[in-house]
Amino acid sequence: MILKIRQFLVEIIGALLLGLSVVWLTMGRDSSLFSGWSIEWSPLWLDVKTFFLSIWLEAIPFVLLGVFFSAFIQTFVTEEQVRRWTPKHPLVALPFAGLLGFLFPVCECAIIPVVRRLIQKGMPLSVGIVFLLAGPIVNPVVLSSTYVAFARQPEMALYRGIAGFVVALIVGMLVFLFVKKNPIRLGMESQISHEADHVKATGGKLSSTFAHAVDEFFDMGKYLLLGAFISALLQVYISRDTLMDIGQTPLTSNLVMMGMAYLFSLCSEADAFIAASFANTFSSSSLLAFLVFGPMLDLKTTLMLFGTFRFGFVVKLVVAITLLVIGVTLIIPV
Amino acid sequence: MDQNNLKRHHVIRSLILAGITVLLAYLILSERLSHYLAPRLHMFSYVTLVILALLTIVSIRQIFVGSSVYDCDCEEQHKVPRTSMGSLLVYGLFVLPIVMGFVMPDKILGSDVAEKRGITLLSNDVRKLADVTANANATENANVTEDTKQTAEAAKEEARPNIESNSEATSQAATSPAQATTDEQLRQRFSNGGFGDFYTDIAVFLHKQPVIELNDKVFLDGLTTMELYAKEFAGKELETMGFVYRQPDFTKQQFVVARFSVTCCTADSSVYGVLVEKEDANKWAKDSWVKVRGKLELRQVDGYDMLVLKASQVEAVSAPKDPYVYYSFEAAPDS
Repeated sequence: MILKIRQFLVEIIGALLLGLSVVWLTMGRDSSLFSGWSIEWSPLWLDVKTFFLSIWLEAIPFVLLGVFFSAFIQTFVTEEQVRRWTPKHPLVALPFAGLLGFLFPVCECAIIPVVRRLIQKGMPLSVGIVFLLAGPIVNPVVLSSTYVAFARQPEMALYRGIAGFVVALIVGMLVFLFVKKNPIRLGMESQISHEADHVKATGGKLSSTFAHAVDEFFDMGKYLLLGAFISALLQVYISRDTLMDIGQTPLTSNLVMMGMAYLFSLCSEADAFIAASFANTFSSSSLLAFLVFGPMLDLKTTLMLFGTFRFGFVVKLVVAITLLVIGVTLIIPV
Repeated sequence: MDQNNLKRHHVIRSLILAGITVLLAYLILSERLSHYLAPRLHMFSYVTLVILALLTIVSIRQIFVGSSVYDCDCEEQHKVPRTSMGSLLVYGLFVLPIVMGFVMPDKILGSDVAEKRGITLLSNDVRKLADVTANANATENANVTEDTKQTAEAAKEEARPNIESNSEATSQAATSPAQATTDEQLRQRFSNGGFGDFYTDIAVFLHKQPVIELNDKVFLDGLTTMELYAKEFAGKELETMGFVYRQPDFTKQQFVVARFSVTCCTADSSVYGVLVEKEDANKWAKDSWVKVRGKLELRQVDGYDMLVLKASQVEAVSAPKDPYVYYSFEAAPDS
């Protein structure tokens, strides 16, 4: 218990220190550290506020959607049903999860609480991870917005779908082969027994759904807020030219675009438009890396993942996704 | 965990949820939501407002009946922060946007952000911008001969549309089918690029106007179209509005009249604009809003075509209520 508390605190404080140090470093050019807090607001801080509120306001509806969907699963869907719907054989189950996005077109903010709940309800971890990674890319909404954004390069949508599916599938295989321990942060059994308690105690499924929604709103919300805030800071203080200067060779340009996708924390529905705006300065392959990596991992979702899975598992996941996205996007001839 | 402590958490949560709900309602009622979100997402916000209000009620209810509803011990597991330090940080994070939303004034994104993002001009390439300004510097350093050459060119450009409008006038004098054929001819002219019917429609729509009015509705699609058919649009008169943006390497005669485009939220915004040249261009302060009217001029930069707006008149205007522009992706606007 004490270990858990310590871990939780270290995470939050570490992230905050990181944010503060960024503020401190970038405030250097201003006159004083707290110039933002005087009545005369520094214009840069007003821009930070604009971005912060904007990302947050944009994400809230989708997080709420995910939260309600998850609370709905929690209250209405039994473990039995989840087990019965998931194909038994992993070779069928993993591709099935990769295409699940066509049935449930959820973006990357909404999918984490949903997948967490599904795994708690007995969906195999590897299947859940494939859905987590592929869902925000391989879905009709995102692919059609990509098609629209890349009007002059419509095949980009197809490549995006394929690359996202392949990367998710390979990560799923790796998880299936190598991860034996349940990486969800709280024990599955205790959670499910609590669930039974809730239903008994409340006597009403609807009010229980809402109560869970409040809990999850605060649970997921804190990671979303922290991610949105850091992303807003970086957007105001880091110039895109700096990033472009680094990305000149195929490998570095892919890495730079992935870095941008990570830091900007865009919604997977909108990121294609940003990618398209880079079309003349970056290679198509690096744009593909941007489009595939962003929905799988970004600043806000990483923090949300840390809130859901154990530390070590998330680190391994991040490494695996990063390497695979680089590999796959360099291989695909865009 | 004792009941009082739990109750305190529920109180704080209720206050935060109420704060978020009120903030969102305030932004919607004061019509400032478009400073943060594109109109197509506003519907989601209205639904969110209702859901947040419901969650607030549920949370307040938990203050009073919470202990009986949550008879199990999962609160201790992860639902509420366990230490006072932890709760301070977590709830502080939630209070931050509420305080920022109410206390800090709204600011439209401007030059500071544009500089960080890079700006897309009528040649669709940020890097070319430096070359253009370099060219302009060269012309400035060179003397009158260069200038006269330019005016001669401009005169030639002027002559061409005149002839065209004459022929159009004569055909208009006939019957309406004749008008249709000129439309048809225009379509022919703009359909060879292979950029799709969408841009052909817009190109025809824009090219028909004696003075192209690049308003909020067609700003982005219009710019893209003119960039695709740069040669056809050279010499046309254009009127548009935006904020003044400058880069350190600009000459005194140059500024960009720019707009932020927003797809979903301002985090995905990009900057688009037209490079404007005018003798007394440095009169207008950066980030001030102006209406510019002038003639488009074709430049060759690195083998790329680029359109520059030679302004004849610039007037200061106030910023529009909705400062951002959006892609429409619909058929050409009728008017």
